[in-house]
Amino acid sequence: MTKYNEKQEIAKYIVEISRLLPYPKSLKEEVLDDLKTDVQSALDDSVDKSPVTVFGTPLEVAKNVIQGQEWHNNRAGWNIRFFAWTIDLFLKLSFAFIILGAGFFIMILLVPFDELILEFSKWETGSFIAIMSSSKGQLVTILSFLVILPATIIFLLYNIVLEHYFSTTIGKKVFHLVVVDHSGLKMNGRQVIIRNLSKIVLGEFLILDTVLGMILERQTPERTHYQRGLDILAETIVIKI
Amino acid sequence: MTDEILLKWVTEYKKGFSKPIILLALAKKENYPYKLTREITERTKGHIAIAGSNIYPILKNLVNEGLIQKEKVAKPTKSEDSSKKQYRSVYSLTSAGEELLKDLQGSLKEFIGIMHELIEE
Repeated sequence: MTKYNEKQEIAKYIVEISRLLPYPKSLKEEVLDDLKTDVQSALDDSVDKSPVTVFGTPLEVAKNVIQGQEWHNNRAGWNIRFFAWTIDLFLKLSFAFIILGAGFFIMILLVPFDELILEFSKWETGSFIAIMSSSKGQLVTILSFLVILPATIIFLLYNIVLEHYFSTTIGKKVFHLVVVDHSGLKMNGRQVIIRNLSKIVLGEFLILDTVLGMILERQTPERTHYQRGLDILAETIVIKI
Repeated sequence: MTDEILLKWVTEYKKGFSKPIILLALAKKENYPYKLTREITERTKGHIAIAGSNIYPILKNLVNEGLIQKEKVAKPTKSEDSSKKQYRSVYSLTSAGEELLKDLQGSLKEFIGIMHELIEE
């Protein structure tokens, strides 16, 4: 392998390890630089030029780096998580209302306002046949669906999508919070979905989930410190960097 | 079955020696993690081999205990241009680490002597 190819292999290897560590660049940079030095030295001493064979899989290395840095030891408390959730809720509602508002505006452009109100009033009676009997009714129904659907999707998937790709949400980022696997590594898709199930439905379930976490925390404080019930199930923690 | 148990026990007692051996290696000279693992493997003739990144948590532990310290030193580069200097972290013993090592060496010698006698009986 040429020196250039070897450097590329090492760079790729470090990037894979970095992807498993959902922490700010400012935290990771020095550690990954040191890691690069070690991997280069390991390859220089070895006939085998594969970083994985000589140094370990990216997952093994990432686990050791986490244990060596202990970035995940500072769990975020209930107060700060609540404030982050408040910001996220405000943002979700805002995005949803913006889409609903834009959609309604487009509907008014396509359907005269008084006819629009007439169609909506048919919905109150619940008569599906009456609604779909006219072309205007069909149009309003389809447009409403096209508006409500994205608004709902954004509201429901905001947390799941952001945490899957960035391990945080906007509200959490304001307070320097990151969601990770309990070992400190990046969460997998299954963990993201499980821990956010109680946010798909507003209010009651999230409250129950949080109260359950608080009760379990009293039983095993070291293990389940500041984890909601679904965090415990998903084996995830929210940490403050 | 006994081979499995033997392997497990050997791994366990060797693990127990990893911290003292790291301190002994750093007593000779400061080093960075990978080179440290190489030196340990060579000096123990392969009996204790800490693979790749497995040394990082052990080093962190020793730093937390105040026995070793980490500092940045310039990496040797072929380029003479100082603006291109790169740095890496190296570990060295603290004075607390040196003190502990002195006491530990005495304790280890005594323990190994006793084990040797037991084995020879």
